[in-house]
Amino acid sequence: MICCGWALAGHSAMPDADALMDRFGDHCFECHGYGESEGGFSFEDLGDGKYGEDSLARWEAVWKNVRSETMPPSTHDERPDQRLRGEWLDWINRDVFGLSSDRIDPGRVVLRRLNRNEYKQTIVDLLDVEIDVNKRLPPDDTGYGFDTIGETLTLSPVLLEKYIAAAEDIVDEVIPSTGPSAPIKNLDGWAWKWQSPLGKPVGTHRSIAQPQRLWFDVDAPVAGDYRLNLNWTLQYGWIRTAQTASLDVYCVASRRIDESASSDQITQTLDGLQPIARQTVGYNNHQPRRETFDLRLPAGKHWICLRLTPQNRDHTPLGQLSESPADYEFYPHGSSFEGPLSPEHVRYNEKTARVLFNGPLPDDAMPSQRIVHTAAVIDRFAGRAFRRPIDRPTLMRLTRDALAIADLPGKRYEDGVAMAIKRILVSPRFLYRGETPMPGGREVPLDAKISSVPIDDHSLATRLSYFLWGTTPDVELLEVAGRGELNDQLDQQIDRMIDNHRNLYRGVENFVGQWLRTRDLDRVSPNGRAILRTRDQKLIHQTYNWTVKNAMGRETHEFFKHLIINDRPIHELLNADYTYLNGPLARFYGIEGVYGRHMRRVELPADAHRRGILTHASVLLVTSNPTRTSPVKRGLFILENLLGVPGPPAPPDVPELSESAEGDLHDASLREVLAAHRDNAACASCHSRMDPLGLALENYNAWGQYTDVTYPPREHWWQSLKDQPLPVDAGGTLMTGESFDSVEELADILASERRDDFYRCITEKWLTFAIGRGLTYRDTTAVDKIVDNLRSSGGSTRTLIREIVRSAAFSHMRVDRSSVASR
Amino acid sequence: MQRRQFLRAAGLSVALPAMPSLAPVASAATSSNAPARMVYLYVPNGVNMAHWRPHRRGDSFDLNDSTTALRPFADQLSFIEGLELHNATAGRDGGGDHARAGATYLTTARARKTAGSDIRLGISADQVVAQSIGDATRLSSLELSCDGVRTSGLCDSGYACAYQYNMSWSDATTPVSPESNPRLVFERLFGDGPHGQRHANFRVRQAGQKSMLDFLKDEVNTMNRSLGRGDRLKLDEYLTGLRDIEHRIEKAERYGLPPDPDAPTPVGTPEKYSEHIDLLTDVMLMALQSDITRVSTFMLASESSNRSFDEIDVADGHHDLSHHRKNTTRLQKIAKIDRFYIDRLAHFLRAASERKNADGSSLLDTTMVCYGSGISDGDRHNHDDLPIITAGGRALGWNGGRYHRAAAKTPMANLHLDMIRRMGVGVDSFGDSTGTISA
Repeated sequence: MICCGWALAGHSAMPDADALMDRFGDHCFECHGYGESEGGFSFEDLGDGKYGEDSLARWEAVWKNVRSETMPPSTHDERPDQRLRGEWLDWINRDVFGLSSDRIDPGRVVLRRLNRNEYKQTIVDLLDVEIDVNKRLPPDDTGYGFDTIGETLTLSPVLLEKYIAAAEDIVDEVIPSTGPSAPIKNLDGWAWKWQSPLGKPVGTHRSIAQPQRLWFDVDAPVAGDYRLNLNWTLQYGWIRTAQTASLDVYCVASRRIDESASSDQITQTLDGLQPIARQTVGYNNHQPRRETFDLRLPAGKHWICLRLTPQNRDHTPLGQLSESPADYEFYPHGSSFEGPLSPEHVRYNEKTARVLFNGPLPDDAMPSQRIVHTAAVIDRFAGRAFRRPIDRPTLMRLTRDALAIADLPGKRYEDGVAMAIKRILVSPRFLYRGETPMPGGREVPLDAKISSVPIDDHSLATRLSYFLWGTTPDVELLEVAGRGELNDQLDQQIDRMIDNHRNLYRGVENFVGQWLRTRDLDRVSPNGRAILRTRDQKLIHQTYNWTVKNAMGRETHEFFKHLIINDRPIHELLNADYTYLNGPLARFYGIEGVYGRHMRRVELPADAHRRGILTHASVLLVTSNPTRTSPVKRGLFILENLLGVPGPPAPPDVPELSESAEGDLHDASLREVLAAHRDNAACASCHSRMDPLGLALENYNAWGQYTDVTYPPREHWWQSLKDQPLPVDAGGTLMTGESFDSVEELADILASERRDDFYRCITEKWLTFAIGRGLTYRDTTAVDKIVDNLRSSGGSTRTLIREIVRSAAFSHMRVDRSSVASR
Repeated sequence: MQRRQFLRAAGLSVALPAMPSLAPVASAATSSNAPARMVYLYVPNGVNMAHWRPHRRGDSFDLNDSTTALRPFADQLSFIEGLELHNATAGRDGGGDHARAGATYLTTARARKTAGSDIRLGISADQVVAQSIGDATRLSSLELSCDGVRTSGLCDSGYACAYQYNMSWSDATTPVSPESNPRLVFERLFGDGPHGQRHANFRVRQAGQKSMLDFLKDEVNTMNRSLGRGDRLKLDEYLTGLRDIEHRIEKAERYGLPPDPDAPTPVGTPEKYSEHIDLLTDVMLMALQSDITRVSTFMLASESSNRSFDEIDVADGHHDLSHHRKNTTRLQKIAKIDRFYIDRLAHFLRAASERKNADGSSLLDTTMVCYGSGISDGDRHNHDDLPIITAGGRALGWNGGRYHRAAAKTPMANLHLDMIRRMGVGVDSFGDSTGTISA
């Protein structure tokens, strides 16, 4: 939709047909002038005003086509160069659209629904409940490369139904309708220890063949009654089984156990003890077993031990009796320890207490007390969920309804509050990020109908929080907004948000995950046999596995997070000589001396062949095909995501690059195949831009490991086993003229000669992500301003963040002038 | 009348009460008493026609090697050749044939080229029917897909992702997003929990929804007061959702509870792609058989899917392969993928023919199935000569066992129009239709 902004922006006369001929005659009039109007468009008609009200839409189309280089078409002889295109765009901006830097249109952001990730994280932060949104909610449609675009975040009836169902399950988990209860401690598989009290955690499951002991400890703060709920499954690997085991449960005061003793010695400790339970268990079902034991314990720490002893031999899959007891698997799940059970210790559990912070409703409360008590809970929760204070009528209505439910037979106070919380979680005020203008904010008229006004503090807090953290604003941010001080404290608040590294990482994951596509790592399945040219599955698995893949995404995220935290120049992303690695990924890269699971900064040795984002395995992997590299995809990735040059779409009838199996190219490398491709004029215009970039990365195989050699592309990987290796030539020349011999040199060129392109590109990407709409010609001046300030700060990453936040697009909104007047 | 039919479908052994009490309110004429149903199954990236197209044309034909799995149903299906999606061609829009193929297939409309703002397409054939006869059933339609996770970043050549992930559109601007998790689909249709408890759970869920609706409608009003005009329009989506739920609750009150199938709830999304497809089609058929809905669409994979097929030893991505440049090995692999998908169609047809309507006729006889792709050859990206198979619908007047060629430039919309009308919806045209073509 076009808004007629420029008519007011100090511009009265549109350029006439003669002016247009002077400017566009040589390049465009052959088809769109001199009486020609191909595709129903002619500059002469435009200049003569024949398109009437449609003129602006026509101009916007011209602007878009010039910018994306779709016009003049690549088949045209007289194609304008970049400089001329730039001049045209500036001229259109200024003389046609009348854009000026002191009256920037913030644009219209369509009301944004929380996307799947934002919803998930918001629920975690509000209620400490983690739900599997990928299973529960349908995927969001993306626009302009991001899932934050208001216009594409639609809501279908099915989705609304799923929100209702999710709210019910979430609240049921947080507020049990049983009311306050004895303290309860949940014990998952990681609380269970294997063999001895100091053994390794059991984790999700353990295979058991010999008599085995499983331990966990519990704390009794006072002497008294406690309850132990055990919950586990025994599974066997074979189909038929007659095996059983005896199960003894012991409860041992910790002082009786020398935790440093050998497991044999500890077993002897058990020998003198009476088990609190003994039973025989069979393996022939997968049903979880649940056992509850009531214990009277003295104060102190106690060890609970399960001793499992396989009883007899088992049938093999072929029906023979095996020589020894068969392996089976022990799965611990949701066990718990409750107590002390005496009434004076009864209280809300931790999650419930976060919401019902003022405790249970006193039995003897007066009606007015009941209202105050309940309203306080709802007021506090709604204020956070709606990201602004709740209005009084709605608060009173929810309070009344909650108390009405509490009074129903068989219902409790907690049921009433649970209902109110559920309603809040499905309210459009929670699911959508409604934004309002700042009361009394300075209004800048853009034309007769619309003005630009700053958004109010709560809207700004919300934008800030989802931009940097991918989640709902925290209490402090809302408090600052509530006091109306956010605009004054903007820099401090941004710094404070950056200091929360955990949340910052989530924000980085959301933005970088989509911009640099690390999110796609979940979907790729590289073919190890083809990449390593081997059938050795063990080698393949040792080289590349889930742990390595997981570290790839984290490398890129940690790196980007580091740029923000330490306020590094943003272009270091392109050619930094350090990165973030853990043991598995370092081994994958062939870098020595890095051990363990955690990611840490690693200076890259010169022979590591790693430098900047171009050599992150994440990027190299997601831009490859399963069996081979794709220089075209890699080149396109660099163009679109680092240099901001939109890749012109492949012409419809020209296929993507594929291997050539015949003729002269039989033994050719991918580089030669591509070169042949570029000889074709139809391909050349785009491929001469993509290929040099992608080919520079040919030293990295389809999952991003460095290699000196390459092989002719074949249909089946094993066909290349007989081929002679070909040396990799990573050199090339960019369309803009810079030559390089290696990826390191390319990285340096991108970070120096092409730095401005990169600044503009990341600004546009991050701004799009942050404001939730695609950028148009009308944002050109705003983007220019951010890029100018970024440049003069030497590329400071925090400057970029601050500039985005302060930009009109982020901090202002468009309003109808009439509506402001009547407000 | 037999009240219960025992049916076996792979992985799901089901007994559904047939629902004679739910006589169709406005149903198309079928030669049986059972209501008419329509199903669209979509496969991406075109096919290898040389192995796909049957050998002889006319009333009898020999199946080609990609489609041999269909042999048991040869007399119940037809190949229609030569249908065209004119609005999926490049026109003035340039690249993006995949996005357009997916978007145009069921709507036959031209997708406005945009990466996010001003999405504009058209209503899809299934939704025309759903909006006309949907009142007769609990759900007006059911949309399925195997893609629960989507690629991040940009979609095909400047088209918003909504175009290639959604084939059903309830109007020009609103895609109906499909569901992919068999368990969740099942629970929405029949209630959650094990057999025997689903009725109770369904009731609880519905009661919860109902008590919430009034509050939420007021919330929309409260919110609207502080929003600008554009945002209020956006909130209409939410309001539509509320009305839809309300409407469904009314319907449920009218129709009583859904059947409680004597089958376990599917566990979730199976690892194996073939099982995922089969499980979703089984759940779809249960919904059709028990007359929960009469209209369903299923994108086996979204357009330009680059899925690899470990099950059949094709490690390359489908989309990547489809750019075959006439290379024999690639063409063979494409044929292999085509066979994989046709096997799933065969599974669907078998399951549909084994399921019975209340009057004993087969579900397949009263269900029109249209299977195909919006691209013919993945290398050329052409949208004419589409690979289309129609099956079932005998009781609705469809004749199987034919292999025929449509006149040049016959719009795909003509087949849609035929199906729409056989569903009992009296419209004269649909999309860019010029008439009807019948299976």
